[in-house]
Amino acid sequence: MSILEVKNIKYKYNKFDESSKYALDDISFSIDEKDFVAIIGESGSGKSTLISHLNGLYKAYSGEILFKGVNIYSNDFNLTDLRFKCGIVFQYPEYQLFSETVIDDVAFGAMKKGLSKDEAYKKSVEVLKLLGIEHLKDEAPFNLSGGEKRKVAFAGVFVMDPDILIFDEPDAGLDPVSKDQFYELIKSLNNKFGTTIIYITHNLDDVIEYANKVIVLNEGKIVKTGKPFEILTDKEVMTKANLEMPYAVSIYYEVLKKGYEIDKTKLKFDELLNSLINLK
Amino acid sequence: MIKDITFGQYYKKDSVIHSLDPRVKLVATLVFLVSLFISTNIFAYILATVFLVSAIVLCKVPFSFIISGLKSLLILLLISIVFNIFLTPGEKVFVLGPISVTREGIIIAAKMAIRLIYLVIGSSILTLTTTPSKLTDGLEKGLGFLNIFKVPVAEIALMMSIALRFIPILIEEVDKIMKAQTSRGADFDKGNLVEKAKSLVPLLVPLFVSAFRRANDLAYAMESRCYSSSVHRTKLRPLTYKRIDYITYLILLVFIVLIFITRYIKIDMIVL
Repeated sequence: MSILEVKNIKYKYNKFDESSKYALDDISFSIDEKDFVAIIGESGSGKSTLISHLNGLYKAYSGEILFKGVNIYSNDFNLTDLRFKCGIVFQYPEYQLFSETVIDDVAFGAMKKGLSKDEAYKKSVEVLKLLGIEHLKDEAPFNLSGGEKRKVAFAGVFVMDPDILIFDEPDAGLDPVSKDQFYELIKSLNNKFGTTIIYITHNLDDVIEYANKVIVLNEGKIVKTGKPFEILTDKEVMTKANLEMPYAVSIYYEVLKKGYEIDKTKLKFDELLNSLINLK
Repeated sequence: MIKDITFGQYYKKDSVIHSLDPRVKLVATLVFLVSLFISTNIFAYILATVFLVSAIVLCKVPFSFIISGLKSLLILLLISIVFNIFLTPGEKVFVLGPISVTREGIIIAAKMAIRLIYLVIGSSILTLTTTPSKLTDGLEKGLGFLNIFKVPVAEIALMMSIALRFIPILIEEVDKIMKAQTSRGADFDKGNLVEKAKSLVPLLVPLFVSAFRRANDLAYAMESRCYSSSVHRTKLRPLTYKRIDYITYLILLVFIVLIFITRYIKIDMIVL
Protein backbone atom coordinates (compact mmCIF):
# COMPACT_ATOMS: atom_id res chain seq x y z
CA MET A 1 0.00 0.00 0.00
CA SER A 2 1.34 3.41 -0.81
CA ILE A 3 2.16 5.47 2.26
CA LEU A 4 2.83 8.68 0.39
CA GLU A 5 1.37 9.81 -2.87
CA VAL A 6 2.36 13.02 -4.59
CA LYS A 7 0.02 14.23 -7.31
CA ASN A 8 0.92 16.95 -9.80
CA ILE A 9 2.46 19.40 -7.35
CA LYS A 10 3.84 22.74 -8.52
CA TYR A 11 5.85 25.20 -6.49
CA LYS A 12 7.91 28.31 -7.03
CA TYR A 13 9.96 30.41 -4.62
CA ASN A 14 9.35 33.88 -5.93
CA LYS A 15 5.62 34.23 -6.17
CA PHE A 16 5.87 37.88 -7.17
CA ASP A 17 7.91 37.22 -10.26
CA GLU A 18 5.69 35.69 -12.89
CA SER A 19 8.54 35.01 -15.28
CA SER A 20 10.46 32.92 -12.75
CA LYS A 21 10.60 29.20 -13.29
CA TYR A 22 8.82 26.61 -11.19
CA ALA A 23 11.15 24.98 -8.67
CA LEU A 24 8.83 21.99 -8.88
CA ASP A 25 6.82 21.47 -12.00
CA ASP A 26 4.07 18.91 -12.09
CA ILE A 27 5.68 16.30 -9.83
CA SER A 28 3.88 13.00 -9.30
CA PHE A 29 5.04 9.76 -7.74
CA SER A 30 4.04 7.33 -5.07
CA ILE A 31 6.02 5.63 -2.35
CA ASP A 32 5.09 2.32 -0.76
CA GLU A 33 5.59 1.28 2.84
CA LYS A 34 9.10 -0.05 3.53
CA ASP A 35 10.45 1.51 0.33
CA PHE A 36 14.04 2.72 0.25
CA VAL A 37 13.90 5.63 -2.14
CA ALA A 38 16.78 7.67 -3.52
CA ILE A 39 16.13 11.08 -5.04
CA ILE A 40 18.89 12.04 -7.45
CA GLY A 41 19.59 14.97 -9.75
CA GLU A 42 22.11 17.76 -10.13
CA SER A 43 22.31 20.75 -7.77
CA GLY A 44 19.33 23.07 -8.15
CA SER A 45 17.10 20.40 -9.66
CA GLY A 46 14.55 20.76 -6.86
CA LYS A 47 15.41 17.80 -4.63
CA SER A 48 15.48 19.71 -1.33
CA THR A 49 12.39 21.69 -2.28
CA LEU A 50 10.60 18.44 -2.96
CA ILE A 51 11.35 16.86 0.41
CA SER A 52 10.30 20.05 2.21
CA HIS A 53 6.85 19.44 0.73
CA LEU A 54 6.58 15.91 2.04
CA ASN A 55 5.98 16.96 5.66
CA GLY A 56 4.10 20.12 4.79
CA LEU A 57 6.85 22.69 5.43
CA TYR A 58 6.16 24.17 2.01
CA LYS A 59 2.70 24.30 0.54
CA ALA A 60 2.44 23.49 -3.15
CA TYR A 61 0.65 25.97 -5.42
CA SER A 62 -1.38 23.24 -6.98
CA GLY A 63 -1.69 19.49 -6.76
CA GLU A 64 -2.01 17.38 -3.66
CA ILE A 65 -0.04 15.09 -1.38
CA LEU A 66 -1.70 12.08 0.19
CA PHE A 67 -0.27 10.62 3.40
CA LYS A 68 -1.79 7.17 3.95
CA GLY A 69 -4.58 8.18 1.60
CA VAL A 70 -5.44 11.50 3.31
CA ASN A 71 -4.80 14.82 1.59
CA ILE A 72 -2.38 16.80 3.77
CA TYR A 73 -3.74 20.08 2.39
CA SER A 74 -7.29 19.41 3.56
CA ASN A 75 -8.43 21.77 6.31
CA ASP A 76 -8.85 19.30 9.15
CA PHE A 77 -5.48 17.63 8.56
CA ASN A 78 -3.06 17.93 11.50
CA LEU A 79 0.28 19.07 10.02
CA THR A 80 2.16 18.89 13.33
CA ASP A 81 1.15 15.27 13.58
CA LEU A 82 2.43 14.68 10.07
CA ARG A 83 5.80 16.14 11.04
CA PHE A 84 6.19 13.51 13.74
CA LYS A 85 5.27 10.73 11.36
CA CYS A 86 7.38 12.04 8.52
CA GLY A 87 10.73 13.04 10.01
CA ILE A 88 13.20 15.05 7.96
CA VAL A 89 16.88 15.11 8.80
CA PHE A 90 18.36 18.14 7.09
CA GLN A 91 21.81 18.43 5.64
CA TYR A 92 23.40 20.60 8.32
CA PRO A 93 23.03 19.31 11.89
CA GLU A 94 24.19 22.75 13.10
CA TYR A 95 20.78 24.12 12.20
CA GLN A 96 19.07 21.77 14.55
CA LEU A 97 21.22 21.38 17.67
CA PHE A 98 20.60 23.91 20.41
CA SER A 99 20.56 22.29 23.84
CA GLU A 100 23.33 22.12 26.39
CA THR A 101 23.62 18.36 26.26
CA VAL A 102 23.04 15.76 23.59
CA ILE A 103 20.35 14.01 25.57
CA ASP A 104 18.36 17.25 26.05
CA ASP A 105 18.51 17.88 22.37
CA VAL A 106 17.34 14.41 21.42
CA ALA A 107 14.52 14.51 23.96
CA PHE A 108 13.16 17.79 22.53
CA GLY A 109 11.24 16.13 19.71
CA ALA A 110 9.93 13.37 21.95
CA MET A 111 8.57 15.90 24.46
CA LYS A 112 7.04 17.96 21.67
CA LYS A 113 5.27 14.81 20.61
CA GLY A 114 3.64 14.66 24.03
CA LEU A 115 5.75 12.18 26.00
CA SER A 116 6.40 13.01 29.65
CA LYS A 117 9.91 14.10 30.58
CA ASP A 118 10.85 10.69 32.01
CA GLU A 119 9.47 8.79 29.06
CA ALA A 120 11.15 11.15 26.61
CA TYR A 121 14.56 10.75 28.25
CA LYS A 122 14.17 6.99 28.50
CA LYS A 123 13.27 6.85 24.84
CA SER A 124 16.18 9.15 23.94
CA VAL A 125 18.67 6.89 25.69
CA GLU A 126 17.28 3.92 23.77
CA VAL A 127 17.70 5.75 20.49
CA LEU A 128 21.23 6.86 21.33
CA LYS A 129 22.04 3.24 22.19
CA LEU A 130 20.62 2.09 18.89
CA LEU A 131 22.80 4.56 17.03
CA GLY A 132 25.84 3.62 19.08
CA ILE A 133 26.40 7.06 20.57
CA GLU A 134 25.12 6.54 24.10
CA HIS A 135 28.51 7.61 25.51
CA LEU A 136 27.94 11.12 24.11
CA LYS A 137 24.73 11.76 25.97
CA ASP A 138 26.12 14.33 28.42
CA GLU A 139 28.41 16.10 25.95
CA ALA A 140 27.64 19.54 24.54
CA PRO A 141 26.46 19.02 20.96
CA PHE A 142 28.65 21.86 19.70
CA ASN A 143 31.86 20.11 20.74
CA LEU A 144 31.20 16.99 18.71
CA SER A 145 32.78 16.05 15.41
CA GLY A 146 30.82 16.48 12.17
CA GLY A 147 29.85 12.80 11.96
CA GLU A 148 28.76 12.70 15.60
CA LYS A 149 26.69 15.87 15.24
CA ARG A 150 24.94 14.27 12.32
CA LYS A 151 24.12 11.20 14.33
CA VAL A 152 22.75 13.34 17.17
CA ALA A 153 20.61 15.30 14.71
CA PHE A 154 19.37 12.01 13.31
CA ALA A 155 18.62 10.72 16.81
CA GLY A 156 16.62 13.90 17.45
CA VAL A 157 14.34 13.01 14.58
CA PHE A 158 14.29 9.25 15.04
CA VAL A 159 13.16 9.61 18.66
CA MET A 160 9.75 10.73 17.35
CA ASP A 161 9.13 7.23 15.91
CA PRO A 162 8.49 8.38 12.35
CA ASP A 163 6.89 6.09 9.76
CA ILE A 164 8.94 7.79 7.08
CA LEU A 165 12.51 9.02 7.49
CA ILE A 166 13.69 11.62 5.01
CA PHE A 167 17.35 12.60 4.66
CA ASP A 168 18.85 15.52 2.77
CA GLU A 169 22.27 14.35 1.58
CA PRO A 170 23.06 12.25 4.64
CA ASP A 171 26.46 11.24 3.26
CA ALA A 172 27.83 14.71 2.47
CA GLY A 173 31.00 15.35 4.43
CA LEU A 174 31.16 11.89 6.01
CA ASP A 175 34.30 9.80 5.71
CA PRO A 176 33.87 6.54 3.76
CA VAL A 177 33.73 4.33 6.84
CA SER A 178 31.13 6.44 8.64
CA LYS A 179 29.18 6.69 5.43
CA ASP A 180 28.97 2.90 5.05
CA GLN A 181 28.06 2.55 8.71
CA PHE A 182 25.34 5.13 8.27
CA TYR A 183 23.79 3.38 5.29
CA GLU A 184 23.97 0.01 7.03
CA LEU A 185 22.22 1.61 9.98
CA ILE A 186 19.30 3.03 8.01
CA LYS A 187 19.07 -0.17 6.01
CA SER A 188 18.69 -2.08 9.28
CA LEU A 189 16.02 0.37 10.49
CA ASN A 190 14.29 -0.20 7.19
CA ASN A 191 14.42 -4.00 7.66
CA LYS A 192 13.75 -4.14 11.38
CA PHE A 193 11.07 -1.49 11.90
CA GLY A 194 9.76 -1.24 8.36
CA THR A 195 10.58 2.48 8.33
CA THR A 196 10.19 3.95 4.88
CA ILE A 197 13.37 5.74 3.84
CA ILE A 198 13.61 8.61 1.38
CA TYR A 199 16.97 10.24 0.81
CA ILE A 200 18.69 12.72 -1.45
CA THR A 201 22.12 11.79 -2.66
CA HIS A 202 24.80 12.43 -5.24
CA ASN A 203 26.48 9.14 -4.55
CA LEU A 204 25.09 6.82 -7.21
CA ASP A 205 27.27 3.84 -6.27
CA ASP A 206 25.40 3.58 -2.99
CA VAL A 207 22.06 3.99 -4.71
CA ILE A 208 22.59 0.62 -6.42
CA GLU A 209 23.61 -0.92 -3.14
CA TYR A 210 20.75 0.26 -0.93
CA ALA A 211 17.78 1.84 -2.73
CA ASN A 212 14.90 -0.11 -4.22
CA LYS A 213 13.44 2.87 -6.02
CA VAL A 214 14.93 5.95 -7.65
CA ILE A 215 13.41 9.30 -8.58
CA VAL A 216 15.40 11.41 -11.02
CA LEU A 217 14.79 15.14 -11.03
CA ASN A 218 15.97 17.74 -13.49
CA GLU A 219 15.00 21.42 -13.48
CA GLY A 220 12.02 20.78 -11.24
CA LYS A 221 10.61 17.96 -13.35
CA ILE A 222 10.70 14.22 -12.89
CA VAL A 223 12.81 12.61 -15.59
CA LYS A 224 11.99 9.06 -14.61
CA THR A 225 11.15 6.90 -11.63
CA GLY A 226 11.90 3.20 -11.33
CA LYS A 227 14.20 0.58 -9.93
CA PRO A 228 17.88 1.56 -9.59
CA PHE A 229 19.10 -0.69 -12.40
CA GLU A 230 16.41 0.60 -14.78
CA ILE A 231 17.32 4.20 -14.14
CA LEU A 232 21.07 4.03 -13.86
CA THR A 233 21.57 1.93 -16.98
CA ASP A 234 19.31 4.22 -19.01
CA LYS A 235 21.82 6.36 -20.88
CA GLU A 236 19.15 8.76 -22.13
CA VAL A 237 17.87 9.53 -18.61
CA MET A 238 21.37 9.91 -17.21
CA THR A 239 22.39 12.37 -19.93
CA LYS A 240 19.19 14.33 -19.55
CA ALA A 241 19.67 14.69 -15.81
CA ASN A 242 23.38 15.47 -16.22
CA LEU A 243 24.44 12.55 -14.07
CA GLU A 244 27.50 10.39 -14.34
CA MET A 245 27.16 6.64 -14.41
CA PRO A 246 28.18 4.78 -11.27
CA TYR A 247 31.10 2.31 -11.51
CA ALA A 248 28.91 -0.76 -11.54
CA VAL A 249 27.02 0.47 -14.58
CA SER A 250 30.21 1.42 -16.41
CA ILE A 251 31.55 -2.07 -15.75
CA TYR A 252 28.27 -3.56 -16.97
CA TYR A 253 28.52 -1.65 -20.26
CA GLU A 254 32.21 -2.51 -20.71
CA VAL A 255 31.43 -6.18 -20.24
CA LEU A 256 28.60 -5.95 -22.78
CA LYS A 257 30.96 -4.21 -25.20
CA LYS A 258 33.41 -7.09 -24.90
CA GLY A 259 30.63 -9.35 -26.13
CA TYR A 260 29.60 -11.10 -22.90
CA GLU A 261 26.12 -11.52 -21.49
CA ILE A 262 25.50 -10.16 -18.00
CA ASP A 263 22.38 -9.78 -15.85
CA LYS A 264 21.29 -6.14 -15.85
CA THR A 265 19.18 -6.50 -12.70
CA LYS A 266 22.14 -7.65 -10.59
CA LEU A 267 24.43 -4.67 -10.16
CA LYS A 268 25.05 -4.67 -6.40
CA PHE A 269 28.69 -5.24 -5.50
CA ASP A 270 28.36 -8.91 -4.53
CA GLU A 271 25.98 -9.74 -7.35
CA LEU A 272 28.13 -8.06 -9.97
CA LEU A 273 31.23 -9.76 -8.62
CA ASN A 274 29.48 -13.13 -8.85
CA SER A 275 28.35 -12.45 -12.41
CA LEU A 276 31.88 -11.42 -13.37
CA ILE A 277 33.43 -14.52 -11.79
CA ASN A 278 30.94 -16.75 -13.58
CA LEU A 279 31.48 -15.09 -16.96
CA LYS A 280 33.56 -17.75 -18.65
CA MET B 1 7.87 31.98 6.22
CA ILE B 2 10.55 34.49 7.16
CA LYS B 3 11.48 34.86 3.51
CA ASP B 4 8.42 37.04 3.06
CA ILE B 5 10.33 39.93 4.62
CA THR B 6 11.06 42.19 1.69
CA PHE B 7 12.32 45.21 3.57
CA GLY B 8 15.97 45.79 2.75
CA GLN B 9 16.14 43.39 -0.17
CA TYR B 10 17.43 44.17 -3.63
CA TYR B 11 15.03 43.62 -6.54
CA LYS B 12 16.75 43.28 -9.89
CA LYS B 13 15.12 45.26 -12.70
CA ASP B 14 16.28 47.51 -15.48
CA SER B 15 14.89 50.95 -14.68
CA VAL B 16 15.84 54.62 -14.48
CA ILE B 17 15.86 54.49 -10.70
CA HIS B 18 18.08 51.40 -10.68
CA SER B 19 20.60 53.14 -12.93
CA LEU B 20 20.86 56.32 -10.84
CA ASP B 21 24.06 57.03 -8.92
CA PRO B 22 23.66 55.65 -5.36
CA ARG B 23 24.63 59.06 -3.94
CA VAL B 24 21.68 60.62 -5.74
CA LYS B 25 19.35 57.98 -4.35
CA LEU B 26 20.71 58.46 -0.84
CA VAL B 27 20.20 62.22 -1.06
CA ALA B 28 16.76 61.70 -2.62
CA THR B 29 15.71 59.40 0.22
CA LEU B 30 16.99 61.87 2.77
CA VAL B 31 15.20 64.77 1.06
CA PHE B 32 12.01 62.73 0.92
CA LEU B 33 12.19 61.84 4.60
CA VAL B 34 12.85 65.45 5.56
CA SER B 35 9.99 66.60 3.36
CA LEU B 36 7.63 64.20 5.19
CA PHE B 37 8.48 65.74 8.52
CA ILE B 38 8.27 69.35 7.47
CA SER B 39 4.98 68.81 5.66
CA THR B 40 2.28 70.76 7.42
CA ASN B 41 -0.69 70.76 5.10
CA ILE B 42 -2.48 68.75 2.49
CA PHE B 43 -0.60 70.29 -0.43
CA ALA B 44 2.69 69.05 0.95
CA TYR B 45 1.26 65.57 1.35
CA ILE B 46 -0.08 65.63 -2.21
CA LEU B 47 3.37 66.66 -3.44
CA ALA B 48 5.03 63.90 -1.44
CA THR B 49 2.50 61.40 -2.80
CA VAL B 50 3.19 62.46 -6.37
CA PHE B 51 6.92 62.15 -5.71
CA LEU B 52 6.56 58.70 -4.17
CA VAL B 53 4.14 57.38 -6.80
CA SER B 54 6.39 58.50 -9.64
CA ALA B 55 9.34 56.78 -7.94
CA ILE B 56 7.28 53.60 -7.55
CA VAL B 57 6.20 53.69 -11.20
CA LEU B 58 9.70 54.47 -12.47
CA CYS B 59 11.48 51.78 -10.48
CA LYS B 60 9.37 49.02 -12.13
CA VAL B 61 9.33 46.88 -8.97
CA PRO B 62 5.86 45.32 -8.62
CA PHE B 63 3.76 47.39 -6.21
CA SER B 64 2.58 44.28 -4.36
CA PHE B 65 6.23 43.44 -3.66
CA ILE B 66 6.99 46.91 -2.31
CA ILE B 67 4.06 47.02 0.07
CA SER B 68 4.56 43.46 1.26
CA GLY B 69 7.36 45.00 3.35
CA LEU B 70 4.72 46.97 5.24
CA LYS B 71 3.28 43.87 6.86
CA SER B 72 5.96 43.81 9.53
CA LEU B 73 5.17 47.44 10.32
CA LEU B 74 1.50 46.84 10.91
CA ILE B 75 1.66 46.45 14.70
CA LEU B 76 3.78 49.56 15.18
CA LEU B 77 1.41 51.45 12.95
CA LEU B 78 -1.68 50.26 14.83
CA ILE B 79 -0.17 51.14 18.20
CA SER B 80 0.73 54.65 17.14
CA ILE B 81 -2.67 55.20 15.54
CA VAL B 82 -4.59 53.93 18.56
CA PHE B 83 -2.54 55.97 21.04
CA ASN B 84 -2.82 59.14 19.00
CA ILE B 85 -6.55 58.79 18.41
CA PHE B 86 -7.44 58.19 22.04
CA LEU B 87 -4.86 60.18 23.95
CA THR B 88 -4.81 63.50 22.13
CA PRO B 89 -6.76 66.20 23.98
CA GLY B 90 -8.99 68.53 21.99
CA GLU B 91 -12.43 68.86 20.42
CA LYS B 92 -14.38 65.67 21.12
CA VAL B 93 -15.88 63.90 18.12
CA PHE B 94 -17.47 61.07 20.05
CA VAL B 95 -17.25 59.70 23.57
CA LEU B 96 -17.37 56.04 24.57
CA GLY B 97 -17.35 55.78 28.35
CA PRO B 98 -13.96 56.94 29.63
CA ILE B 99 -12.46 56.98 26.13
CA SER B 100 -12.97 59.90 23.83
CA VAL B 101 -11.93 60.42 20.26
CA THR B 102 -10.89 63.91 19.33
CA ARG B 103 -10.70 65.68 16.03
CA GLU B 104 -7.05 66.55 16.64
CA GLY B 105 -6.36 62.93 17.55
CA ILE B 106 -7.72 61.68 14.24
CA ILE B 107 -5.70 64.23 12.31
CA ILE B 108 -2.46 63.43 14.13
CA ALA B 109 -3.05 59.69 13.76
CA ALA B 110 -3.68 60.09 10.04
CA LYS B 111 -0.53 62.19 9.63
CA MET B 112 1.46 59.67 11.62
CA ALA B 113 0.19 56.76 9.55
CA ILE B 114 0.92 58.51 6.26
CA ARG B 115 4.39 59.49 7.41
CA LEU B 116 5.28 56.02 8.65
CA ILE B 117 3.98 54.28 5.55
CA TYR B 118 5.67 56.74 3.18
CA LEU B 119 8.86 56.52 5.18
CA VAL B 120 9.01 52.76 4.88
CA ILE B 121 8.02 52.72 1.21
CA GLY B 122 10.51 55.49 0.43
CA SER B 123 13.42 53.77 2.09
CA SER B 124 12.38 50.39 0.66
CA ILE B 125 12.66 51.88 -2.81
CA LEU B 126 16.23 52.87 -2.02
CA THR B 127 17.22 49.36 -0.94
CA LEU B 128 15.08 47.62 -3.56
CA THR B 129 16.81 49.46 -6.38
CA THR B 130 20.36 49.67 -5.02
CA THR B 131 22.64 46.71 -4.35
CA PRO B 132 24.26 46.84 -0.89
CA SER B 133 27.70 47.22 -2.46
CA LYS B 134 26.59 50.23 -4.49
CA LEU B 135 24.92 51.68 -1.44
CA THR B 136 28.09 51.49 0.62
CA ASP B 137 30.16 52.79 -2.31
CA GLY B 138 27.82 55.74 -2.44
CA LEU B 139 28.12 56.30 1.29
CA GLU B 140 31.88 55.99 1.20
CA LYS B 141 32.26 58.50 -1.58
CA GLY B 142 29.46 60.78 -0.43
CA LEU B 143 30.90 60.98 3.08
CA GLY B 144 34.51 61.02 1.90
CA PHE B 145 34.91 64.63 3.04
CA LEU B 146 34.68 63.45 6.66
CA ASN B 147 38.17 61.97 6.24
CA ILE B 148 39.50 65.44 6.98
CA PHE B 149 38.07 65.09 10.47
CA LYS B 150 39.81 61.71 10.85
CA VAL B 151 36.51 59.81 10.60
CA PRO B 152 37.37 56.30 9.34
CA VAL B 153 34.87 56.40 6.48
CA ALA B 154 36.32 53.42 4.61
CA GLU B 155 36.15 51.18 7.68
CA ILE B 156 32.63 52.26 8.48
CA ALA B 157 31.61 51.59 4.89
CA LEU B 158 33.23 48.17 5.04
CA MET B 159 31.42 47.29 8.25
CA MET B 160 28.17 48.47 6.74
CA SER B 161 28.64 46.46 3.60
CA ILE B 162 29.44 43.33 5.59
CA ALA B 163 26.43 43.88 7.81
CA LEU B 164 24.15 44.42 4.82
CA ARG B 165 25.61 41.48 2.97
CA PHE B 166 24.87 39.19 5.89
CA ILE B 167 21.20 40.12 6.20
CA PRO B 168 19.95 37.87 3.39
CA ILE B 169 22.30 35.10 4.49
CA LEU B 170 21.00 35.22 8.03
CA ILE B 171 17.40 35.36 6.81
CA GLU B 172 18.05 32.26 4.77
CA GLU B 173 19.62 30.57 7.78
CA VAL B 174 16.67 31.44 10.00
CA ASP B 175 14.48 29.86 7.36
CA LYS B 176 16.55 26.68 7.32
CA ILE B 177 16.68 26.47 11.10
CA MET B 178 12.93 27.03 11.34
CA LYS B 179 12.41 24.23 8.84
CA ALA B 180 14.65 21.89 10.83
CA GLN B 181 12.98 22.71 14.15
CA THR B 182 9.44 22.69 12.74
CA SER B 183 10.21 19.19 11.48
CA ARG B 184 10.87 18.23 15.09
CA GLY B 185 7.51 19.56 16.19
CA ALA B 186 8.63 23.02 17.31
CA ASP B 187 5.90 25.61 17.02
CA PHE B 188 6.86 29.26 16.86
CA ASP B 189 3.46 30.94 17.06
CA LYS B 190 1.67 28.94 19.72
CA GLY B 191 1.07 29.96 23.30
CA ASN B 192 1.36 33.17 25.29
CA LEU B 193 4.22 35.64 25.23
CA VAL B 194 6.45 33.69 27.63
CA GLU B 195 5.91 30.43 25.77
CA LYS B 196 6.59 32.17 22.49
CA ALA B 197 9.83 33.63 23.82
CA LYS B 198 10.84 30.20 25.09
CA SER B 199 10.08 28.62 21.75
CA LEU B 200 12.61 30.95 20.16
CA VAL B 201 15.52 29.27 21.97
CA PRO B 202 15.78 26.42 19.44
CA LEU B 203 15.90 29.09 16.74
CA LEU B 204 18.27 31.60 18.29
CA VAL B 205 20.97 29.28 19.59
CA PRO B 206 21.79 27.70 16.22
CA LEU B 207 21.50 31.13 14.59
CA PHE B 208 24.06 32.69 16.94
CA VAL B 209 26.35 29.71 16.66
CA SER B 210 26.35 29.92 12.90
CA ALA B 211 26.61 33.73 12.83
CA PHE B 212 29.70 33.64 15.04
CA ARG B 213 31.19 30.87 12.96
CA ARG B 214 30.60 32.87 9.79
CA ALA B 215 32.08 36.03 11.28
CA ASN B 216 35.11 34.06 12.39
CA ASP B 217 35.56 32.46 8.96
CA LEU B 218 35.23 35.84 7.27
CA ALA B 219 37.82 37.42 9.55
CA TYR B 220 40.27 34.60 8.87
CA ALA B 221 39.62 34.80 5.13
CA MET B 222 40.27 38.55 5.14
CA GLU B 223 43.33 38.11 7.31
CA SER B 224 44.79 35.43 5.04
CA ARG B 225 44.34 37.70 2.03
CA CYS B 226 46.15 40.48 3.90
CA TYR B 227 43.20 42.81 4.04
CA SER B 228 43.99 46.25 5.35
CA SER B 229 41.75 49.25 5.21
CA SER B 230 44.57 51.74 5.48
CA VAL B 231 45.58 51.20 1.86
CA HIS B 232 43.98 53.49 -0.66
CA ARG B 233 41.68 51.34 -2.74
CA THR B 234 40.68 51.95 -6.33
CA LYS B 235 37.26 50.90 -7.58
CA LEU B 236 36.34 48.63 -10.46
CA ARG B 237 33.48 50.94 -11.32
CA PRO B 238 34.20 54.39 -9.96
CA LEU B 239 31.11 56.44 -9.28
CA THR B 240 30.65 59.32 -11.69
CA TYR B 241 27.61 61.50 -12.12
CA LYS B 242 25.76 61.24 -15.43
CA ARG B 243 23.25 63.60 -16.97
CA ILE B 244 20.28 61.81 -15.47
CA ASP B 245 21.85 62.25 -12.01
CA TYR B 246 22.08 66.03 -12.40
CA ILE B 247 18.51 66.13 -13.66
CA THR B 248 17.41 64.16 -10.59
CA TYR B 249 19.25 66.58 -8.29
CA LEU B 250 17.39 69.42 -10.00
CA ILE B 251 14.05 67.67 -9.52
CA LEU B 252 14.90 67.13 -5.85
CA LEU B 253 15.72 70.78 -5.42
CA VAL B 254 12.44 71.83 -7.02
CA PHE B 255 10.60 69.30 -4.85
CA ILE B 256 12.04 70.47 -1.55
CA VAL B 257 11.53 74.14 -2.46
CA LEU B 258 7.89 73.40 -3.33
CA ILE B 259 7.45 71.63 -0.01
CA PHE B 260 8.81 74.69 1.78
CA ILE B 261 6.47 76.93 -0.17
CA THR B 262 3.46 74.86 0.90
CA ARG B 263 4.25 75.80 4.50
CA TYR B 264 3.13 79.32 3.72
CA ILE B 265 -0.17 78.35 2.11
CA LYS B 266 -2.94 78.97 4.63
CA ILE B 267 -6.12 77.01 4.23
CA ASP B 268 -9.07 76.58 6.50
CA MET B 269 -11.01 73.84 4.80
CA ILE B 270 -8.79 71.05 6.11
CA VAL B 271 -6.50 71.64 9.03
CA LEU B 272 -4.03 68.99 7.88
